[in-house]
Amino acid sequence: MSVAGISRTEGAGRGLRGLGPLVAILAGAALALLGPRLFGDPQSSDPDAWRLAAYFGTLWLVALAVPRLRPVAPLAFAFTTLALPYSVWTFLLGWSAGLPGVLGGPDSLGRMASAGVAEWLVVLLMAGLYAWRCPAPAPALRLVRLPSLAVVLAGGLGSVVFLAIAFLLPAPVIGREGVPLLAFAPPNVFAYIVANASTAFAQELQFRGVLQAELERSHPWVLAVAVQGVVFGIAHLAVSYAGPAASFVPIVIALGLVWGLLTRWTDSLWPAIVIHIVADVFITVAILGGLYGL
Amino acid sequence: MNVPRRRRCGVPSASRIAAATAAAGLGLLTGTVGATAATQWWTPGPRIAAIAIASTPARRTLALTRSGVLWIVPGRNQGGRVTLGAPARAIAVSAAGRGVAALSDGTVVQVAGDRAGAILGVLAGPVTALAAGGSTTTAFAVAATSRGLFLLRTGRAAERVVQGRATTVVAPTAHGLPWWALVGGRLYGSADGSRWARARRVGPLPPGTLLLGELGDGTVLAVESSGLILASSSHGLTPSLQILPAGGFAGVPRPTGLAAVGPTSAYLATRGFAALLTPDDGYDWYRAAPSQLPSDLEAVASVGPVAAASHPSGDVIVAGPGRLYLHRLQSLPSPPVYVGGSALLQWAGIAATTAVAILLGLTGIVLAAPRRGRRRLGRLV
Repeated sequence: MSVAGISRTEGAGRGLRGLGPLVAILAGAALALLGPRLFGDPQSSDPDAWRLAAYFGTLWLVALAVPRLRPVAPLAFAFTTLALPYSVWTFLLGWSAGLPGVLGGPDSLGRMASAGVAEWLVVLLMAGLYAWRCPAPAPALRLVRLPSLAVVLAGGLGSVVFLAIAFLLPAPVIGREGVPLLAFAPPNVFAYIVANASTAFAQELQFRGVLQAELERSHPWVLAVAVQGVVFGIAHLAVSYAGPAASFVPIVIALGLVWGLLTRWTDSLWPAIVIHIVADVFITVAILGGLYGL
Repeated sequence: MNVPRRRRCGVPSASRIAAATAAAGLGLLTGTVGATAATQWWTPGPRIAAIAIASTPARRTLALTRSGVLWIVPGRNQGGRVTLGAPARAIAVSAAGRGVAALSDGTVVQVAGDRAGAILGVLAGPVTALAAGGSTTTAFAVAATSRGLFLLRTGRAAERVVQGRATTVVAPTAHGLPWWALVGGRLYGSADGSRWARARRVGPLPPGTLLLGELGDGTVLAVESSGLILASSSHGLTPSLQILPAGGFAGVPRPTGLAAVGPTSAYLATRGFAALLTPDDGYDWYRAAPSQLPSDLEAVASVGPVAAASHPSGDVIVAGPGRLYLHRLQSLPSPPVYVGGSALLQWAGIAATTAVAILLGLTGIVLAAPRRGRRRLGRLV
């Protein structure tokens, strides 16, 4: 058995058919995520990200070990690629001991930036493992190809279009009432940009890279784009958009669908990465924090 | 021989499944749009079209409407009308609860119950802003006019304390804090409202700048006409929040008032973005439940021992078009913290739920995964 357990020879030709495994995996994930919220202590550090990572990771390991389930292993691995790096991010963000002072204290901006960089490094590692060991048909991560003129144009124009729409829409709809200048004064703004850029890069590689590529291997591409978009939105709801900010989730799903289509049409992940970074930095800078917290 | 493909009846195409997935995802979540309204932050109050409300640590305050002046008590459904003899242009209530009103003819009077009380002074020009101080028995006022800043006391002539075009004046939000005024584009401060001096470290401010108010720890907030909000710091006035255009071709919404809530917190009323909230001297800014308020607010005030208290109790009142909205400040009970056996049970529950989820997921995968039948293998290899 290969490192990732998804060797080309063992899995060759056994594409995953039907929505059953996908629905089963997501149903279990919903239980793992939401079940403990019925009785969990809101003041304790609820390890929801680690729960999901453990859930997806266990499914992947079991799928590797059971030959009959091996076709499901790449899909379980793709979902593990969503959960495990995020768990690392949350862990590094709040960890209070053993990290060099240069990374900043827990929950500081410096820590946010360094945790973001660590997250995308883990994603990059897992995506590389996935691309290397995934059985045929080979997945299309669309990351390493040199950007063509169309890709550059798509990234630049897409960013401009995003910002234009954001400014033309009534501000309260997307919550961009103002820029808190004290919070974003240098050097804070550089830490915010690093944190947002690394997280945006990681999320594109997770959702439009690994997950969409995996779904495209075994399902029609329209279904792959739709599913990754919905999972992208629900993942945001699960981890950070609780409370009043939940109303933002349909917009996240729509963005996920658009970025999925863009990735498909340009055959490159880079336009979506560029627009996502621009959008995340803009949202962090120009959307008041109340959209997320209160 | 090429046989045209027939579409199988009853089998949805991939695009239909994809569309259904996306629609289900979006539709499922549209129900969360109303999540903001789930908690009642603002309670609709009496139907009073106020254009100004005075902040005070006392239990009642004055509201200025186009038709007159009213005493309002948070929680009561209507205000008590005050007869003043002439239309009022500005109002203020002192920390001791005594009301003051500047009338259109330049007279500044105390408000005693439901009518005008003692005259504090008569000014030549119209009053643009008013602040009140004094004890429970006597009140004094500081008035801003185009000719300067004036100190007004019962039985004494109006005294011009700063010369120049005065636009705003702010009374201390807590005992021991200074008074502030903006005169000729310069910030002035005073310990008692009578002797004023230009604030050091603060240069001339752009035309159109207005003082918004003072927080409980003495931080002063001002707003430029561009929508840039400034907060005082050891370096002078520092940019705190840039209000962005409302969208489309609409301009930048204009702040209309500020009410201190606790030592470092304040509500900001705007004409366009409803109410915003800063909990930390203008470092962070939040939306204060915009869906529960009209977007255009004319005024905001805090009523009760709010501004300087670490656990404020009282009300924040905002004035929308034709109606007041109230937010009662209260200390929220802390969520339960599990310790000892409870914490152990919680962790056991989390582990058990995760284990059940894994079993459920695996069962689903086993049921849904392709079987190793001859026919299936033949199709796949």
